[in-house]
Amino acid sequence: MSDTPLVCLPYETELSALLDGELESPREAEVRRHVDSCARCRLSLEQLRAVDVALVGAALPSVPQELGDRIRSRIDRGVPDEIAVVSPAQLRRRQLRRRVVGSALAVAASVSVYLGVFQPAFQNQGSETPTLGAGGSARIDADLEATTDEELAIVLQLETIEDLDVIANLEVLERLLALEFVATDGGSS
Amino acid sequence: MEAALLVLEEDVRLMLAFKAGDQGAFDALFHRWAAPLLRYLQRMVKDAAAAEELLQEVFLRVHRSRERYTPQARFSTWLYRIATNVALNELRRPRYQLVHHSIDTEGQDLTRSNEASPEAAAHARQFVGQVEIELRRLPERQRAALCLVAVEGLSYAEVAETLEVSEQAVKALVHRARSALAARLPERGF
Repeated sequence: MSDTPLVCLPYETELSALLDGELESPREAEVRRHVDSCARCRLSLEQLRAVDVALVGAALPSVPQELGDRIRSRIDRGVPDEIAVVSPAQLRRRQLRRRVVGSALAVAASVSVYLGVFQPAFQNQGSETPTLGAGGSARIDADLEATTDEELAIVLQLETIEDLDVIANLEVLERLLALEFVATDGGSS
Repeated sequence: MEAALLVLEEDVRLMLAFKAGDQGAFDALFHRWAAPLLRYLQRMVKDAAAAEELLQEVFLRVHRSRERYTPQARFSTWLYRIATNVALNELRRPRYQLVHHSIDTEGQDLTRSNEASPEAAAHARQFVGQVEIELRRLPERQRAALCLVAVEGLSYAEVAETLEVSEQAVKALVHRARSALAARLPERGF
C-alpha cells in the first residue's frame, strides 16, 4: 500500500465502500471508472474482495447441544428482567468521569492554552471557565478528533464533568483514557 | 426501513411470537442464530469457551428484552447490537487486558475442522485460516466493524448505531481492517 501512486489516494479509501455498496451513485460511478482504468486499484479491489470471501467462507462453528439446554436451564431458574444494559460507550464515559473526579486536575494553569486551541467549540469565548453551548457537542467531537494527545490532555484538565458527556465519539474517549495522567486514580499530570 | 416489511421477516415474526408467549419461537430463534453468533463472538473474544458463555448471555438478554421488543430495525441488527455490546464489555474485563492470548494457536484451532477437505481445496483452506488468524490481530472495533459489514451484512448506518460512532468512522474502520488483512496476507497468486 505504501507505493500507491498519489493519483490513487483519493480512491483508495473508497474501495471498501464500493465493495459494501455504500457509495452514493455519482461517487460510485466515478470510483468504478477509476478502477476500470487503474490496474493497481483493480488489484487492490480484488485483494479486498478476497478477504471478504475468506471471512464469509469460514465454516460456521458447531454449537454444542448442551448450550441450548444450559440457556433453558438458566431461564427456568429465573432470568432477572429489565437488567440495566450499559453500552461500552456509556461504561467508558462513567470510567472516565470517575477518574476525572479523582484526579484533582490543575484547571486554571492551562486556560490560556485551552482557549487558544478549542475556542471555536464554545459559545462563551473569552470566559475564563468555558462551558459548552447548545449545539457545541458535534463541533467539539470534530475538534477533538483533530488534536494531538497533548492537546487532549489539556481538554481533560479543563473540561467539567458534565461536559464530558458530550464527547460521544468513543475513539476520542479511548485516546483520553490512554493518556498517562488519567490512568492513575487520584494522581495528576 | 418500513415496519410493514420488517413484520414479514421470519425472525421478526418469531420474536413477536416469543413476546406473545410462544417459547417454541425462542428455541427457533436460537437454532437459526446460534451458529453465526457464535462465530462472531469467537472472532471477537478469540476464545471458544468464552464465546460460548457470551452466546448464552446474548440469548438471555434476548429473553429479558422480549417485553420491550419492537421491530424498529432488522432483527439481525438488533441481535448483533446485543452481541457486540456483550463482546466489547467482556473485552473490557481485566483478564482480556492483562493476559496475552496465543492468537495463532487459537486461530488454527478454530479452522482445524476442515482437515478432511479435499486436497484441491487445501490452498484455499490455508488462505481462509490465515485470514482468520490475521483478523484476530486487528483492534477490536475494526474487527467488529468488518465482521458486521462483510460477514453479517449490516449497513454502515447499522454498524454506526451498534458501535456508537459515526458512519464515517465505520467507513474508516472497515477500510482499515480490510486493508490491513489484505496487506498481511500471502501473495496467493495476485
